[in-house]
Amino acid sequence: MNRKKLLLPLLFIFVMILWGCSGGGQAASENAAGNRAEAAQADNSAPNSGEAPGTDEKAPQELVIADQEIAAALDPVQPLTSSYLIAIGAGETLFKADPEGKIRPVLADSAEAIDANTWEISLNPEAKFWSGKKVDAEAVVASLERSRELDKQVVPYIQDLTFSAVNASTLQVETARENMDVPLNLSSYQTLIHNAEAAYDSVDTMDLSGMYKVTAFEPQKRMELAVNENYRGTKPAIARVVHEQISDEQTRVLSVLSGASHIAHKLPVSAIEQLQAEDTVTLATTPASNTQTVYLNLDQPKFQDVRVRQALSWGIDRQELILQAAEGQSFPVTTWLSSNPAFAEARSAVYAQYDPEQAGRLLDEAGWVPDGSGIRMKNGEPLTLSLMTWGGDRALGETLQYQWAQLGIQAEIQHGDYSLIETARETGKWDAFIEAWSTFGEPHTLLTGQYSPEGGGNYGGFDDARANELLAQLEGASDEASRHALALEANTYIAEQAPVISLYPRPQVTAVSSTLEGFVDHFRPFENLVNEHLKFVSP
Amino acid sequence: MGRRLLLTFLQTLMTVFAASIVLFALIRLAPGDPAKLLIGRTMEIALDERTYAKMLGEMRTEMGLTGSWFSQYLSWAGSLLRMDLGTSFYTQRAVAAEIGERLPATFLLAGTALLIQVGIGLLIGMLSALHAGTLLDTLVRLGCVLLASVPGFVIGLLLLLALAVKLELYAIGSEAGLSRLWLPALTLGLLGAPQMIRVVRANLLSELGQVYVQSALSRGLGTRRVVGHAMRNVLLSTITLIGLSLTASISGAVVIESIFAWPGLGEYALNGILHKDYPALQGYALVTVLSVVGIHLTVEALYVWLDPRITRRKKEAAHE
Repeated sequence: MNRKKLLLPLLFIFVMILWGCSGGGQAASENAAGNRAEAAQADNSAPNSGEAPGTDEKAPQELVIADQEIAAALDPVQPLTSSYLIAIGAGETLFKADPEGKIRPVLADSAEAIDANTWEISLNPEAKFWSGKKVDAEAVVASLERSRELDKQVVPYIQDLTFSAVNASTLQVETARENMDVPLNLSSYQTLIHNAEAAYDSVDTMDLSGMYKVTAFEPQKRMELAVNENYRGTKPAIARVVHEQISDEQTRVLSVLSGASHIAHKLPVSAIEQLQAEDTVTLATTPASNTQTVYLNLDQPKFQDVRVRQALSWGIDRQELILQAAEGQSFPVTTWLSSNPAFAEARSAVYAQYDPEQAGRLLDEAGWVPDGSGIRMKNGEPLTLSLMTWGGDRALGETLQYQWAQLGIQAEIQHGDYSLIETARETGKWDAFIEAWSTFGEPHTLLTGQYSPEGGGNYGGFDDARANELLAQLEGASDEASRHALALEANTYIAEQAPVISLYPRPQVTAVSSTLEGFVDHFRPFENLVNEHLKFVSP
Repeated sequence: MGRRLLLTFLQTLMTVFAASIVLFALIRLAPGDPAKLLIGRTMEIALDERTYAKMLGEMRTEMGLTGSWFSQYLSWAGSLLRMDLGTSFYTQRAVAAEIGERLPATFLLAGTALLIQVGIGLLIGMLSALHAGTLLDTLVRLGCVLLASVPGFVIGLLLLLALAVKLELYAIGSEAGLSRLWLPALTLGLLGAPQMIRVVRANLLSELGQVYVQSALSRGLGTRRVVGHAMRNVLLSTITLIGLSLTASISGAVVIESIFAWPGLGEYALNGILHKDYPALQGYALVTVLSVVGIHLTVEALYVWLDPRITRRKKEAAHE
């Protein structure tokens, strides 16, 4: 056949392939649009049609949230799914932490400790799943047991708890350890309450209890939600929510600046200056309840001397660190637990101010003295420190490197993937690395995890008799006041021993469109993306 | 003919087999434990050592990570023979279904980007060659150097800033519709254009220096017609480049897909890397290898079809 004549059909086939491919994309868009239309229709036919008093009538009724990641599945027992479902108002737990760190009931009505090992939880009598089924004690037990069976991440929160239904509205919780804070444990996102009898492979069959119902879902791309008309409390003012996955952090910044999204979540601190210059967005930068911490390998001879560890802490200008590495959006903490709002009084309990002279004295006492070039030496060896960083902590590492260099310490930075830190920990070949663990939870569990010889987060191998004794006393404390006092004492004592160096809570940067009102900043990122008071206003 | 087809098929099979082994090993050589990641890093500090170790062991067994690499490879290869790419560690969905959902978006982006790249490459390359040595030619070459030296993510973000934020001509989102196609396609097309422009320019200049062109011109044939003839030969030599560009767009658009939140295979691979999702990465790698092999075979076939001299030379060589 003539080759020229064949070219035309080939071109036609190529165009048809492109057309076919675009059809798929279009179909997805049309489906999504169709769902939105249906949701809008459902919303308009309802008494509360999404127009809250004071809202701009011409304002959009679809809230678009650009996030680093969205749910990969609909089943709350899949990894992280429950956190996303709670964040966008689809799922609820029995309790939640308010922005001040106080535990408040959500699906529960109240909780009472009957004795050291028993709690009784009354359920909200109005609470219902989307299907209309009541959230009664049997349903709650079934949900928690399903999570226990299928979600490994829930284990730390309920492994010591046994649930049983006393009656339809009362749940009894037996604890294996005495004086456990059950409401606190049941405020973690992994304990999301869902209808255990429902199937979680489709938006039509899944059954949660939140103020928004999922109406369309494309895994790791987009989730669409509409108001749950049977919701027991104040219905949200905004009719629909779209949770979109935009993995690139700079694109999320541009997304909110362009108006394509109204909330852009998990933004880099480096974008703060750019966002502050724009009047179309406001910034929410409440630091998370975690502490950026330098973990020291106490197996290294140089760090076995407490004076060296203390010198490293005295020689850090935390305010400067925050300015350089967190754009000023955090506050200094010198003890590990004090990034938790409940222990705010311990923020500067030790190493109250930047004191390089004190650091120098301690290093001199430890035998590390400066040579002619200012490098501290001992037995002919320089004082070196290799600091491993990951994620967005490169600037933090470099600022620490500079500050320690002023003391005569030769610090080098190794920036890379977190798995490199894991590998170094497994081999034991490391000096120091930066990590930020959550400090919100039961103080005994948290401190034991970090500082007891068996603690999974005790990477440096800290083993101190006094610290162990304080932790044991904390475990046995029977009332809230003594628990708090003992936690503070242990926290301060450990900070003095400096097995780790606490720096500041890691800031969370969220940009909110100025057309949106009612966004609540929260130290727990999964608690706050959506709330019933959000509404659109004229900018 | 039949023998040649069989030989090509066997070569292809060997290539895919060798690539699958290399990719399988490379994915596992990367540091990090997918089981630890899936359980959640918090568990390491929230649980005592024994409980954590027990849980990790159970998780590794569930994920099929307990045997040797060889047995894991055999298991995966066995699944492949049953047309099963496995189940994603992270989403618990069939990898084949997930790739199937994203493949059209990637083909759409790659195809459109290729059209843009070829269009720009042919037009500007031809103009540059026809005006060789002039200011226009210098500007084109300078532009090519500039464009080729700026990383793709910078161009992508600058275009987003200009067209989505400042001019409001483009909507940032996560859907793969036609309205969202043009900017990532333009970016990807622009990124590949300098190479195409330079190849077209160089080849056209070379063709224009050929005796047949000079004699055609001296016989009074119009310049446009002569250039038309020369361009046919230039097109032939750009087929390889087009094939390579398409391969790069399908397998390597990770950055562009991520920046534009384009839900294609590149973004899927990125998610797979973040979650150390071996089945997802293996599936992505296999599809990429198959695409690359498929495109190369097509290019080879096109060459033979478009340039009969190749077949003739091979026949002559066989006779000798």
